[in-house]
Amino acid sequence: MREQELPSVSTATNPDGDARPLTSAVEASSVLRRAPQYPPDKPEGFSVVGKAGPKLDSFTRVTGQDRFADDIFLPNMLFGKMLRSTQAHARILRIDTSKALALPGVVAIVTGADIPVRYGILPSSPDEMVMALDTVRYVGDPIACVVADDELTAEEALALVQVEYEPLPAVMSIDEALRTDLPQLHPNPRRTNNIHKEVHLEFGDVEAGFASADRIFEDEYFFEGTTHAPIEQHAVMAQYGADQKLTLWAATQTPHYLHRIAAAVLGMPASQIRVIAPPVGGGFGGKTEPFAHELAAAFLARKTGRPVKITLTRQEVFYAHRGRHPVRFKLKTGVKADGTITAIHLQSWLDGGAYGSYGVATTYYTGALTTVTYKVPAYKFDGCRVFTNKPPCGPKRGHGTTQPRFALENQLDKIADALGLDAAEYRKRIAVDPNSTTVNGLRVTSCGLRECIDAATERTRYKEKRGKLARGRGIGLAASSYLCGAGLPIYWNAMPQSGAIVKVDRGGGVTVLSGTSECGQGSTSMLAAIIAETLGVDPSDVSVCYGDTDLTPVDLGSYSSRVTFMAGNAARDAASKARHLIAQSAAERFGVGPDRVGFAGRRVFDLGNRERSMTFIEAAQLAEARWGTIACVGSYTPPKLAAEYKGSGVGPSPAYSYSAAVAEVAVDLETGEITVEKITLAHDVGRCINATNVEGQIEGGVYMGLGEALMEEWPFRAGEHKIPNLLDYKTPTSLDTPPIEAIIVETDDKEGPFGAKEAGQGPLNPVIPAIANAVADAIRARIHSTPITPEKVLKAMDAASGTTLRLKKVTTPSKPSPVPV
Amino acid sequence: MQYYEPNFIDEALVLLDRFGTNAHVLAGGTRLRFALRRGVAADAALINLKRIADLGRIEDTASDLWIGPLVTAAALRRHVLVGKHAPLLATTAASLGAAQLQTVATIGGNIVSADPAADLVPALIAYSADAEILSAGDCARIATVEDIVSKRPALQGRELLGRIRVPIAPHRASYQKMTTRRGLEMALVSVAVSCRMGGAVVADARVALAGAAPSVVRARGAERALIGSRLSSEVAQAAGERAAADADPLTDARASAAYRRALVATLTQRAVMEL
Amino acid sequence: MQAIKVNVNGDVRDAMVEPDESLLQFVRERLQLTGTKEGCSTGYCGACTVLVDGEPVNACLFFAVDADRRHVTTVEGLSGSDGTLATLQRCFIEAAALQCGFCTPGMLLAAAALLERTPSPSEHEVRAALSGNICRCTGYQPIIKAVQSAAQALRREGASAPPRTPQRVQARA
Repeated sequence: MREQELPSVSTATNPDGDARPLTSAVEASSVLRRAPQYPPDKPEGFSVVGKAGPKLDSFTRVTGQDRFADDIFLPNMLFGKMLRSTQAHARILRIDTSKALALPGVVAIVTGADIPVRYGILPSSPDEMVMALDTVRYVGDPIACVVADDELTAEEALALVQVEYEPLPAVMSIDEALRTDLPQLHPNPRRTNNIHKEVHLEFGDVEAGFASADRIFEDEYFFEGTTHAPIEQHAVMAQYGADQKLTLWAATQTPHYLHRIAAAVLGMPASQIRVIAPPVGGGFGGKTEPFAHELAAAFLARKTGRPVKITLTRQEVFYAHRGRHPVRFKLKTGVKADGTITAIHLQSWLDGGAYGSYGVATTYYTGALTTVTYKVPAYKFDGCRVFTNKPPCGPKRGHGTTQPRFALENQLDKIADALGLDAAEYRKRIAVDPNSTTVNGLRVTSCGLRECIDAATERTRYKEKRGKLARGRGIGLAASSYLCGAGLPIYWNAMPQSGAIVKVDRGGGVTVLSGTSECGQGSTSMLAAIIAETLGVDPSDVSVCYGDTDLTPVDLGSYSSRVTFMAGNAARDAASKARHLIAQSAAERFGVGPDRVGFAGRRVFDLGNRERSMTFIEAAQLAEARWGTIACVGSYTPPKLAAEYKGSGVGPSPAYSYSAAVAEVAVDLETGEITVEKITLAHDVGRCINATNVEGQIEGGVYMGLGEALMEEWPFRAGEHKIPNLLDYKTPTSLDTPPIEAIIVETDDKEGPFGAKEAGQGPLNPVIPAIANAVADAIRARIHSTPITPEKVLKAMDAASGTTLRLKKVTTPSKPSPVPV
Repeated sequence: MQYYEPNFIDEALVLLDRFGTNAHVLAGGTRLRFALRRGVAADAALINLKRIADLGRIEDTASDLWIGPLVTAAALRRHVLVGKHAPLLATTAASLGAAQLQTVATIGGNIVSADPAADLVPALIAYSADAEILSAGDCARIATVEDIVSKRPALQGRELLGRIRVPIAPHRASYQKMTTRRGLEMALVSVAVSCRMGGAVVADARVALAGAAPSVVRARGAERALIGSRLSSEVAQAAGERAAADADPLTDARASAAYRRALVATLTQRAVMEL
Repeated sequence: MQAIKVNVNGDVRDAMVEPDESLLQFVRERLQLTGTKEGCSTGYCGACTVLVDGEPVNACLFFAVDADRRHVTTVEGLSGSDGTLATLQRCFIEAAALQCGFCTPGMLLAAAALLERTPSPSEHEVRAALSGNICRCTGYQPIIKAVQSAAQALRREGASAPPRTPQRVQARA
């Protein structure tokens, strides 16, 4: 059945055949598409959805006209700097700010005692303070904040603040955090160690599953911590007016959460606070929660009555972190002789850093999505997050699902090899089916996993190459899936996850108000396309007003790959209502029923006789005359998806995207140097709203995965981050990044806006194991930890050949491997 | 902070003498920016050398190529005399950071900063380059680049690096650089080899290693393996093994000492094979 | 404070700067040309790339005093005085060579410097010329494509890359 429906490869074309010129010269990526099925409210077919097109905001980006948070300067403003701990773990005995305060140009200094309010992005772990009250928990933990007339003076003042510490033993690893003889970072009388969160879940009959297995595979893996490293350093401008209203311009992916927490921490009514999210210069999950500098700037703006700007230095960005958790795994999989999985037991230990952040959710995510890719009839998951004296970890693109995917796909190749199975066919055979439910109660709807595997492997001739290339060359496959937004909000409430207002101007322009944040992912263009499609106008006719808590209805934010699905659906809901009003008044003019009214090419017409038409402007004016101002609201609330067990709230999503990546590599067998020659990635995006954007998200995900696979590390020495700069923290340059081929697979999700799912995070996940599998194919040895460095390559080859040939002349002992094997 | 733009070398030397350790010399400024960020004394002086034309020239004589310390990596990459007499310098200049750094980074700064993984220094040492060291009231003294970079700091407070001299002679040279990533990167290990040939036999050889010791060093064992031999894969392998023995690498965040030593062997072998 | 005279995007600016002031502070804070971005302040990301006499530099490392009597081009100086987009800018838009856009100004200027010197760059030359500019969003592919199509368009137009003159501003008495 599915095979018969398999689409042929084609480039995105205009199914409407509409003659209206598209604003783009961009070639569309290849799209695997079934015969287009138009939703009932779009009988005239698509004229915008699926097209390639430039990002609407790119015109002002290439001219430097946009104002990012740090680009905002206000009259009489102050510059703020945060004093940060030099100790990994210490009690603060005394803070003396008098000398700093006496420095000419210094206007105010605050410390933790001034804002003694605990908060946390998750209501379940409010363990942060704007500045340390009595204990510092990592090198970089904020202690005080200085504001001065200029940046240099603020910096000088920091050096004059005297802090007396009483050092405490630092907890710097998962193993140390599990010990009972070290001090607790956060006092917890119920424990004797530094465990933050434990999760133990079991679904199906795991014992029976393993008992019925023909083979059992057990491996250990370590996924290194990484950080987002957006090029924009976090920045905030805070202004407190004589009207006692506070305005924050913050580089944030989640203006709503900043709004909520600023109100709580500052003790102000939320109605007196306005949070504006200007364009964000890259987020990747790193700007999804309120930060100390934002709250300190707000507090100081109120205290001084002058605008306060704080822009983090690059070093501080490393300290702010909230990046990928380092995770250690034990993975046990039982299979039948034909590879059918009988049971999986996954154990994960997450190194959480000093605070909770989103860590409780991350812990669940290291186990939750194991089951949505391949059929797993029995599943046991034990997760454990610990506190350590390092910058706090949080969500990074792929949030918690990236690390286990490295382990799962690595072991799956090993299983295929051990059982003599073709690794691609094997994956397809055990792939989950569309419209099924996983053993842990997750609802899978549209699923193009098999199509993705086919597309990526056929394009690369994977089956002809794998295991057959010369030593030193390799090809690797991996697949994965991701959420289209978490099914539940992070704080319990029954309200929509996203709202939108669509206003139709009598001049033909359409404005959408949406609480999203544009961090480069393309939410602005996505919203414009959905509204333009619904109303038959050009995306350039749509003005997107986003991320302003005074103006825009709440959207929970640009994280969790939720924006297209949730904000897109809310915007479509609002636009459909406007369409309905316009259609009714136009129908009256045409003398037909409203169902016969079509919208395309800035015209509104009778679907039965397209000659009978009017311009969109005429139709808008007709509607305004008939109904009054055309401004409609829309909302999106996901269906109830959570199963009935504790912890079931993490994992459900209204839809899952699917991806398959094939990496082709060359390995220098003498130096261990890895050259990734090409990455081909097929992604099931449901339906692509904007082909350019989807392709960009795929390529960006591949890029980010490449860095994590090959070079990004998170090392500490003597309690301190060793490389908090962009030279030593390696991110791939243009010379490191291979050609990337993006293949868009469409499955038309029934609940997504026009069938769309996500593309922001999912495409990253399979890249890392695909590279690992390709390297294994090239060197005939497996590496069980990231990043896969040249040094590990040589060691793995030596271990596989049972010699230490390459390094035998060496007398100096090499550094111990971080792999907990 | 006081600021000076001396027009002549002597003027600069007098200023250096006067301000001693409070003097900060501005050439390309890529390192100075970091030093200044750590804070400077109120009576510090910034001495900008940009007006001293003598320090920015590239000239040749019958026997030597003279390169002023203010010559940038970009200029080394493109200058016809460098391409003619010291092509390895052009090669290494092209691998220094990226275009933005090459515009400003100077050969003098590369030497004086004495980084163990400096990009230009291995080529200079392979070429047996030396340099003038100037100070107020004294005659210029000459020191080899290898000696200069082996000291911490490379220069004393009142000293200024003068012109760099690269002897001109027919030679074969090659360069190997291994990095963690391919752009905007210093060497994990790099190897520069230069040989003068007497017929088919290596008459003289210089092998310089970066990232393999506390400073850029010569691999004298590897040089001995080359001198008097005919180039072959066996000789290359022997040179590689000797270079690895000469190396004294450190373990740091980027690589272990063992891996660096293995790289020295492989890269030296490859560099010799490429001659 | 030190007096400097700098031609910025065609306008001669007289200014007083601190001896250790960076060119980045100068253009962003004194001139309010905020198109030039700060990404690291250490020369490791390229976001602040501007041209000095046509050559790319990291404005965060460059001393403002070294810009005295020289031409500085920032992203604001790429498009025509009437607001017409430069070919390179147009090609960046068409190739979707940006996502968040924060690295874009620096990327554009690094590319402009390349095309000025190398009108028909190979893909490797483009990659090498942009290797000092980190982009965390795009994976570089569309950027490379944009620069190559700009090169092609510029050759076709027979036009030169953005207005820039290599000779220094003559100091006035």
